[in-house]
Amino acid sequence: MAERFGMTTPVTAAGKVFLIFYGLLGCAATILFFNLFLERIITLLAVVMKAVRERRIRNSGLLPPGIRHDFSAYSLPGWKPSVYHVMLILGLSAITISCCASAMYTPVEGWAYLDSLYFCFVSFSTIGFGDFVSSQGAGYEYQSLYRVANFLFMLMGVCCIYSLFNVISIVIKQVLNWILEKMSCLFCQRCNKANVLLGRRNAIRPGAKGRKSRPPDSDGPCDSDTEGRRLSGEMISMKDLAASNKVALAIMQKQLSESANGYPRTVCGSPRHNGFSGGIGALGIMNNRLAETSNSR
Amino acid sequence: MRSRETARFHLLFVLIALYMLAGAAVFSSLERRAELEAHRLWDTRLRHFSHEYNISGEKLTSLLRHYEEARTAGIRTKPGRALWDIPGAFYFAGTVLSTIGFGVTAPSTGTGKVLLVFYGLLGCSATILFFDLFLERVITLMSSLLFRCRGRTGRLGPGGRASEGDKNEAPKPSVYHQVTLILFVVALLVTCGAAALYSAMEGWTYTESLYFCFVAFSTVGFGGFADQLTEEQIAEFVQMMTAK
Repeated sequence: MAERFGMTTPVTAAGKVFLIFYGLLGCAATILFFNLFLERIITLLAVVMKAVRERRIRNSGLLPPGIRHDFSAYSLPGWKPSVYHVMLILGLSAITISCCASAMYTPVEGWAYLDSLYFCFVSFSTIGFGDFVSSQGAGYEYQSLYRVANFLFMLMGVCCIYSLFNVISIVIKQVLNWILEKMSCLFCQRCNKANVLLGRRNAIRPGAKGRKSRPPDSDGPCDSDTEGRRLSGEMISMKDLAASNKVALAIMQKQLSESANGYPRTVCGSPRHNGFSGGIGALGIMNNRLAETSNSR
Repeated sequence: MRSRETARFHLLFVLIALYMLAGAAVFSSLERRAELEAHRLWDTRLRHFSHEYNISGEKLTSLLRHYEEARTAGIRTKPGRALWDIPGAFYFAGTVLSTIGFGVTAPSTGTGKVLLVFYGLLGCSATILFFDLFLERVITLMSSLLFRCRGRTGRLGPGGRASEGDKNEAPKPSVYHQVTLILFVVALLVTCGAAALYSAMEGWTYTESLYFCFVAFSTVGFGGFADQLTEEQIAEFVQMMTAK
């Protein structure tokens, strides 16, 4: 993907030209693969955690035992895994994979254990300096097994770290929103009025009438990811503040682009013929999958 | 439907695996001969040198091993720039955050390596967010421009009415394809412009510069061309960020 090890690089002109076209398609497909992996992980996590919750509720006797199982993660009203759960799981997986892989590289390649861990991080993050490269020696004991294990570790490691980066980026986005809100509060005297309106959904948003559910998007102040957090009280929705200042223009632009793009993507996730309205890349895929980025909590 | 999504995921995995096999076949056929030739040439040169100056093979090999070690500290036969002064380190931070990772500059101390892990975790995530939001901003802008153009020329939607924001009719025609095309064209222009700059400043051929641009902007970052570092790093970065 975007890893560079620098040992194997084309030297012939034909090889370089072929690389460009090969890479254009291949890297795009691989990015999609990692994004879908993240989406699968989140879906799996949602299913597992929901099943645990259901069992706990049923055991406590609040539900009739004959209730039908519905494993669609989006039908249980409002419940979605939190980005922090996903981050924890991905982080633990990444650490586990790195430690196991390093335990393999240290004896086979003769590196120090810390160097192996460093190599794991540099590879899995797709940085790929090339100062350490595995599987470059002429001969190894159990060479085929080592090569297979090397490939599998790389695959799982990149999946986890790439997904982890994207999940952390959601957290960073929320921090940014929080900072903006704090700064805006400092200068905006209508802060108090907006706080009162926090209880109402879609209170001031222009063009909100007639629309059942807001389309999810990954924009700045007009975030769908801020709506879910209103209930937690941890970070306050920017939406109400935004409506009352000049950012309304940006909201209108967003509306225009959404109507230009066609109807916003459905909860089920397949973007139809417009890939952009739900957000881009991994952010787009994670929209509406996590508690912090969806319309309903 | 979730079973369809799982099937799609597995299908993609199989397709990528096949793509890798196909790529392996093509690249091998292109490059293998050159690799064997390079080995032959080097063996010949080494033998001639050792013969001509009466230096033993082991002594030569030990010197060459020292040279390989020195290369990791950035030493080259042709003097380049300092690697870890402030501008150089800034460039290093850039290769880390963008995940390009040319590898010419890489930490060699243990502390540096540990620090890199935590630095990279936070920094790469923020940079991924930056690229996503940047792309989203650009697409929003282009969509609204295209939509405005359409509205002005009085183009009708598939529902037969040209009203804006009316959600009751069929979805408006998608601007997806136009936006993708525009992005592709812009990327092409940036690449051609950057390649012109590199071939002028670095002395590469234009084709080699195009190759470097692709390798860098895709964040693959082989590093084969990063041996010659000049003062144009900042301009390079701006273009990398734009093109990505």
